[in-house]
Amino acid sequence: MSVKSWFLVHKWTSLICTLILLLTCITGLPLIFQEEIDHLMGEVEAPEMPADTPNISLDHIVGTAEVHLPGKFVQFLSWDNKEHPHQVFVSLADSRTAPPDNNTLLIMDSRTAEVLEQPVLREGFMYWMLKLHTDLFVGLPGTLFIGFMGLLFVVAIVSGVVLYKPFMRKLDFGDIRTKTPRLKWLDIHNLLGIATLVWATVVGATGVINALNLPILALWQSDQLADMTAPYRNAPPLERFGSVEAAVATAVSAAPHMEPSLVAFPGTQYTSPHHYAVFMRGSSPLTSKLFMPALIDADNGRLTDLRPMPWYVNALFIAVPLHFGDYAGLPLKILWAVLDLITIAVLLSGLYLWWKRRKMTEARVAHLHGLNQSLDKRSDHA
Amino acid sequence: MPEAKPSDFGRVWKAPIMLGLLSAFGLLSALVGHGFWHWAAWAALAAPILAILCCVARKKK
Repeated sequence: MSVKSWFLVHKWTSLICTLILLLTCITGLPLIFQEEIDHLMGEVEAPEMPADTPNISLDHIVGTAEVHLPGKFVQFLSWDNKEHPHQVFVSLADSRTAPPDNNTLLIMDSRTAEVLEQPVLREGFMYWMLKLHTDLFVGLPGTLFIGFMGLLFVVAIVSGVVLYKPFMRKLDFGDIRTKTPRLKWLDIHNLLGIATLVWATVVGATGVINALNLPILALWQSDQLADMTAPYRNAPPLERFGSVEAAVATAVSAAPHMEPSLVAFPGTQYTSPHHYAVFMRGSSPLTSKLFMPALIDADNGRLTDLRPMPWYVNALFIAVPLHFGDYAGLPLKILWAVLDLITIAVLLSGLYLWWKRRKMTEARVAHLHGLNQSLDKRSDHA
Repeated sequence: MPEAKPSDFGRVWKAPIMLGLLSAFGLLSALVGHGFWHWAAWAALAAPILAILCCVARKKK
């Protein structure tokens, strides 16, 4: 492909994705610091108790939650022992099989089953930022649309790299010419773009993978999950579920070096109608991000299957931290924010260059047009 | 268009490749390690930002 074609690719992919990319970069900025902001806003904490206070049975937690919110059903239990010790996050819905989009959350004390808080979801500044960042308030189509824009962004980066060389023919790395504003911003655009190339590509590409979250879930359901639960395909629906405490204990003994991070109740998206899925995570930095489901028969409490996730789900699990930048403390988040601001500068300077170039082309066309007309006139007079 | 000299490749790409490798190392090292690897990640990912600051500070041509 010629430089000219690459230039057209760069121009059009950038132009199409710039507006959405600006939106995701700006809304992403506060989202990087979600944990810190939550903390500053005064999150609930479990009360001090002797360190060896045992946890209460999860069945008791579930019972208490469903009494606390009559008519609702627990769909998920989850833990975040590092950030929120002694807390169980209990997610409830109007039915066992409802999609979790409108779930209510209860934060409960894992030792006493006391309801610590029923946080307000789906309103406030951070909720707006999240929706604008992930689905523009229109659900899956919005998410896929933003994902497609992310894909164009990656193409724009690749074509930008191809164009870097011809633009740098006479310059050294980081030279910024100041002869005209356009040259200055061209050089700044090239410098910022090439220096942050790998970070922007990784965050862009993992953003695309995150946008494919639901399709990836559907693929897993029809592939590995269907395979693991095949013997249950024609089983009658369960009247009532057995002990979730026992299910978690079974999962822990099946994967002794891992800890449970989430339990999906039968009928939800992450499991079959007959199984508790206990998602286990490892303890190393990397394996703590890769969840492995233990499927426990919710009728008799036996382990049905425990398998590592297929590659495409693990790719999603790895894409989450690489997109969020939340895997190495506050310094990494600050770097993420600075690199995000630099990306905004690349987008804006690119927009400016396109605008200037367009003006220049217009002026040139007008000039040629005028030249032609005066030539025409002259030939008329002749 | 004149044919690019072989040394041109190094001149144009040396700094971007270094910064790219450092970024990739930073992104991955914090993902697989604790402690020292976090520090390594912070330092490596700060490299592109510092490079930009240096270039902007020396400006002018």
